[in-house]
Parts: sequence; structure tokens; C-alpha cells
Amino acid sequence: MTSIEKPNNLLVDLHVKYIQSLDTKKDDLEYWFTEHLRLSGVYWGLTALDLLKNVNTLNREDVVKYVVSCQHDNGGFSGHIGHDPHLTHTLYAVQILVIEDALDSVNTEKIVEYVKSRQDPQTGAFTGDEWEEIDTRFSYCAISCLSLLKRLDAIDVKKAIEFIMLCKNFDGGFGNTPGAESHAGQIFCCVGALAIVNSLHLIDADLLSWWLCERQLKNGGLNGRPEKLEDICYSWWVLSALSILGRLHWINKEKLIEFILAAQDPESGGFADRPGDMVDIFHTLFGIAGLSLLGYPDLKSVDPVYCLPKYVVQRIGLAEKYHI
Amino acid sequence: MHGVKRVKPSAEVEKLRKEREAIKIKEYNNLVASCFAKKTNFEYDEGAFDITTKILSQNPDFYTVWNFRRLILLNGTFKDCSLEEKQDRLGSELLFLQEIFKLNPKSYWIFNHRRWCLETIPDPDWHNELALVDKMLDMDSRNFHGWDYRRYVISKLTMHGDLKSLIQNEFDFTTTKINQNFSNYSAWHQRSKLLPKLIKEKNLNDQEIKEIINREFELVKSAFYTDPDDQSSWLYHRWLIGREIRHISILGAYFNRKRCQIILVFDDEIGMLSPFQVFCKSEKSSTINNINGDWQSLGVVEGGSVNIGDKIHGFFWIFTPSSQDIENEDFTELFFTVKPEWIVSSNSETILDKIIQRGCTIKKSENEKDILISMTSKTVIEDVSEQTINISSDLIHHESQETLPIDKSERIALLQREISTIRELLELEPDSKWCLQTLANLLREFKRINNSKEVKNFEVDEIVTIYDKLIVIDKMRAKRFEDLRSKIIFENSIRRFIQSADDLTSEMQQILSESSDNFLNIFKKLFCKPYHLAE
Ligand SMILES: [Zn+2]
Repeated sequence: MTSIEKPNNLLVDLHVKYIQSLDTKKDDLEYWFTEHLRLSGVYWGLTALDLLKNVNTLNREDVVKYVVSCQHDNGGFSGHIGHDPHLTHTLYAVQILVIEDALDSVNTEKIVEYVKSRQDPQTGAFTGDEWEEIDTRFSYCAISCLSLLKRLDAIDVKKAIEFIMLCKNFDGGFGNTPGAESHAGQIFCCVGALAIVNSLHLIDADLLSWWLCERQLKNGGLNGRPEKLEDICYSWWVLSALSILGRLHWINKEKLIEFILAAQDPESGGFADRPGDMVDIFHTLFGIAGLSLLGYPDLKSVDPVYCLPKYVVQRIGLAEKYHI
Repeated sequence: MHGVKRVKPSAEVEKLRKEREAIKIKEYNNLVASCFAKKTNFEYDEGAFDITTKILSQNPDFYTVWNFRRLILLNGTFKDCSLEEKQDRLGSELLFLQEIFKLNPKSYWIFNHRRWCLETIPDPDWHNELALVDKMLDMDSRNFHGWDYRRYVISKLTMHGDLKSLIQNEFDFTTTKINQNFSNYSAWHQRSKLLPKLIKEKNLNDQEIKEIINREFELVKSAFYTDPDDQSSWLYHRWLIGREIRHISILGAYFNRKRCQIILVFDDEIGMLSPFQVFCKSEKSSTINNINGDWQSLGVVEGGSVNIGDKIHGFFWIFTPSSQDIENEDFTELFFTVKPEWIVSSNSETILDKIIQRGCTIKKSENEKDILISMTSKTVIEDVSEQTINISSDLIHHESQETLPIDKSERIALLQREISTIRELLELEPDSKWCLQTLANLLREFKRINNSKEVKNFEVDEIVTIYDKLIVIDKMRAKRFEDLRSKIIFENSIRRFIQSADDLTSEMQQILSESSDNFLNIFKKLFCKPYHLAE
């Protein structure tokens, strides 16, 4: 591969153009196949643009209007207009509205009600929607969402923590349900949720951080489980958890930066899961957020718990209570 | 998009593709439009069902369409249908799922729908599901959807079956998977869940437990002899050894009148998640007031330097009140509270299991030399502000339900045996990073568990030497080993200070009376002498 195919600096302008171009690909079948990811796509794109200091690229009014149109009578948000509401999309909606400082354009009381109704009072677990899938991802969605709305009082936080702790494993990590194998994505969710509710003392920080830093492979990239392939999205999940646990320096930052930069598309912008692959908006956000957490220049700082620009979290007055 | 290679087709190819896709897009969008029209109008008929089949065959991640499909079955098909018909219908639904699973083995929604079908079908065949998941894990032995689904199927079988044999059966399944490939981390993980259950279920006596645990050590041993670079077996080994639970206690708490500071000495390093609370009683009123101020600790930070700060794990914690709060210095009593949820230790086996509350009376002293007043545990006051969530400490120990029944003396014997096993392997593999760090872990745990009055320097020397080597061998993670190295050196010197002090109070008195020097310098002098290996 030539060096042109493996970029070694951040292609800011190309990424902005790439994100802008996403809504113009209506003659791609893929555009329609991923319609259920439209709202999340807006969150990924908007957060990436904000970190790239280009938040105004997307028209604020259009963004807010679109988000509002995804809210349902029960308070939850769907992945796109007319789709069914789901807890993950509800978090994306709130994150977008917090970035745009537009929470007043929706009925937040309804959102709180929706999130509250997703908790199982017996186990403390959260279900994604009325079809009752249970996953620690949803615990994170609920806790992060209510924390952004300053309404954690609406749920049984103690029970929520108890459920998360049932998902802890022999390696210090967390799985999606009790008994499930540790996975970097779930670890981000559980560590983030515990950080928000002041419960990092429940984590075996040295053991878990050890497992996390062993995710780095020779090529600098990080995987999400032992003996798996490296991937940009895992670099975010591992990094954010390490950062919350105050051990970001346990991995080799230079090598990882090199790996993330190499995963850019040097012609059309965007990041792929790993160098040489097709880009998408999901990996574009996690590439940029990872670089931000690693202190790469010319980017706004990202908050490792909320995966939002730090200034946004500060603006709504949420204290930085992690980094142990 | 995962694992799709980037290709830049020529403009011509692009044009052709778009032409081809234009037709498909039109067809697909028409399907979606009619699906949503029916959904909005609550039309739960067979026509709607067929549309969902067409959409989901192309796009199994379209969760709203799955939801609609279930609504059609529940509100349409299953109205006035016999149990046999329902059984048949859901049977073919399962076959449909199997077909699209082949195209997309990692879709959450396919598994969700499958679970729903089996929980709705009148007579579910869980044995068939088990056979299916066997095949799934044959194809990809690390597919975590597969493992999740397996645990789910087993839990269903358990509900109507013989639990004991299933645990043994599942345990044997992990053995098979591990023997096929020692680096199947999913199987090791599953084993860590099953082994404690197996021991409990079988109601084994001490000797039998010992035997079963020893067989585990044999299995890991053959794994890391086969491939010493594979992390799975090493991480499992760390868990097998386990760690002895240690309770953090406070060795001393002092009020330094001259500096108006509170100094706490713990017998282990702790970090602070939420500030410990300080209160006072004043002469004038009998009310108890909160005192604001800063807590700082002394400890090692990134890169191994010793520092004082609020986000450092430390043995010493020092409280300096903010200036407004000490101006009216007429308080007569002083208290502080430390709750378990306010502190964090670096591992879950080192815990604070109860609230610490201490206080002292401050008399207008004529004796200036009495700069240090011991705070004792006699005073117990009501909690003034309740901001943090109170979580029972057994939550931290949830893991303990899942650890092995090994008592302290057995663990000491195990540690000794494993230390020599690893040393033997190290002869063959002198540069194996996993071997080296396991030996360092074992030695550290051995030191910790013994916690003897005389800390043996040669043990620390060996651990330090191993970390020095690891810093060179595993450059990627050099900073972690540097941290571990500084930590053990610092910990060792502090422990020696604490343990050798016959009277901690007078020892502290002496440190603090050297008023010309500041805290950090005094502590640095004491604890941060450059480390030399034993003479
Ligand atoms: Zn990925």
C-alpha cells in the first residue's frame, strides 16, 4: 500500500464533506436499508462534526425538527420517522438535543416517563422496548439519558446498579446479561453507567484495566475481546473505559493514533473499522472521538462517559466525577 | 460496516450499479410503504405478513418490521386458531429464521425473534435448539450471540429438567471446546461460571473439591505449555488462584492544630470517589456544621513520581479546610466520616466494609507542643447530608458467589506450588510476557496474603526485577508495568514505615514538628528514596 492510501494526519475537511454528503446518497440501496439508523446517524454525524469544530455544518433547525418528529406518544424516540420507539434511539435523541441546546423543543417529562417504564422493578434491568430484550446497553442508555435530563430520581438507581453488577465477570469486565462474556462495548456501557451514579468503587479497576490494555494488538489497533480482530469502534470503547478508570496511559497512544488515522478514506473522507475497509458514519465518530480522547490536536475534547463534546456536558452543569 | 473492503469502482461501474439499484430501491421502498400503511391501519392480515417476509429477507435489521410481524401473528393469525395450527405456524417461522440467519449470523433482531417464537409456541423443542446452537458454535466457536443463545436454551432446559446433569454437561462442553482450541476465551469464560456451580451442585467433600480444582490447574498448565502467548488460559489461571479478601482499616487519624489539618493513615492505598465529610461543633451553638475543604493524598502517579493530589490513590489522606471555614476557629469538637462507597481500592478484594467515623475534642491548649490530637472512634454523629447512594458492600462481593471455595491456608499452598510451576516454565520461556507477569502477580499476592510483620525485601526485589524486564519486553504496555513497579516500591516503603513505627502517633508527631519543611518534602524524604535492590 502506498502512503496515500494510509493517511497519517487528520483529514478534517474531507470528513466534514463526507458527513455532509451522507444525506445525498439516495440512489444507494444501502441508504434505504439503513433507514432505521437515521436518528443514530444524525447523532454520530453531529457529534463528529462538533468535535471537528464544524457543528454548524448541519442546519440546527432541520436537525431539531427531525428529532422532534421521531418522538412518540409514549415519550420514546424511534430510529426514524414512523418506526417504533426504542430506548437506544431515545438516548440518541436526547444527546442530539443536548448538543443543539434544544431540550425545550420536546416534552422531556414524557421521555422520563418512557425511560422509567423500561425498568424491571424486580431485577433493576432495562428492556430496550416493549418486546423486552434485556441488555446492559439499555441500562447505560437509561442512566445516561436521565442523567442528561437531571432526572435520575425517576428510576431505582440502586436496583439498576445491582443488575449491572450481576453481569460482572472473572476478568473484571462486563457482559450484556448475567453470565455473558466480557465485551469492550458492554464494558464501556457498564463503566459509564457506574461512573454516572458514583459507583466506580464497585469496579475492579486494576484487573479490568489490565484486560482492557491487553486489547491492543501489534498493529496498534484494539480488539473488543481476546483473539479477535482490531476495530476502530472498539478503540473508543476500550479507551473511554480506561480513561474513566484513570489508566488511559496503559496503552500505546502513538501506535493507536497511527492505526486510527490509517483507517481514513483519503479520497472521500470518513473512517472505516480498519485500514482499507469501507467507511461509515458510526466508525467515523468513534475514530474522531478516539483521537480526541488521545489528545490529538485541533479537536474539541470528548467526554468519555457521555460520548459528547466535553463543553456540552459542562454547559448543562454535569460534574466530571470520574477519573479515579 | 464491518470487514467490507474499500473499492473505488470506475464511474462506469458506478453508473451501472446505480441503474441496477434504482429498480431494487423502488421495489423495496414500495414494500416498506405498503408495510407502514398496513401497520398504521392495524391491518394484521396475511398480505401484511408476506410483505414483512419480503422486507426482512433483504434487511433483517429493520426492527420495526419484526415488531409488526409479531403483532400480525398475535392479533391476526393466532386469533381463532387451534394449538396445532399455532404450533405449525411458529414452526415454519423458526425455519424462516434459520434461512435468514445464514445470511446474517450476527443480527440481534433475528435472535430476539427466535426467542419470542419459542416462548410463544405451544410446545417448544429446546433440545432441537441445543442441537442448533451446537452447530452454530461449530461454525464459529467465538460467536457471542451463539454463546448467549446457548445459555438461554440451557436455562430453559433447566426449568423442566435435571439441573445437575446439565451443569456437568455444559462443563464438559467447555472442556471439548477448549481441547479443540486452547485460546477459546468464550469457553474459558463459560467455565468460570460453571465450575463454582458444579462444585456446589455436587455437594463435594473437601478432598473432592481439591481434586476438581487441581484438575483445572492441570488443564491450564497444559494450555500455557502449548502456547505461552495465549492470554485466555493465563487470565483463567489468575481467576483460579483468586485473591484473599482484605479489609481496609484506619491506622490513625490526627488533627494537626498548627496547620489546622486532618491526617488519616490507612493500611492500604485508597482513592477517593466522593469527599469524606468533616464536621465541627462550636462553643456557641450545639449544632453540627459541615466544614468545607480539600482532601489530598500522597501517592504515586503516572510515570512513577510521588505526588500529592486529590485524584491519587494513597495511604495518607490530608484535609485542609477552606479559609472561611477555619476563620471562626472556636470549634470544640471535630469529626469526620468515611463511607465505603466514597472510596475506591484498586481491586475488589480490598474493601472497606464499614463506615468510619472518628472525632476529637479540642481544648484551648496551653501546651503548644501538642500539635497532634488523635481522633478516636468514640464519637458517632448523625449523617448531615445524604447525597450518595448507599450500596451494600456485598454487591462488591457478588463475585464471591462465583469464586472457588479455597481457604487462606490452601491458597498459600496453591500460591507456593504455582510459583514454582511458573518458574519452571520460565526456564523454558524466559521472555514470555504472560509467564513473567503471572509470576509477578503470584509473588505480589503471596506477599499480600502473608502480610507479615517483616516485609521481606528480596520478594520485592524479585517483583521489581520482573517489572523491569516486562517494561522492555512489552513496550506497548510499558506504562502499566512502570505503574505497577512504582506502586510496589512505594507501598513497600510505606508499609515498612507504618509497621516499624512502635507508636504511629509519636512518629507522625515527629514528622510534623519539622515545621520548616513542607509535607510533601518530608514524605518524599521518608518514602521515596531511590530504590536499590537489596544490598
Ligand atoms: Zn466496529
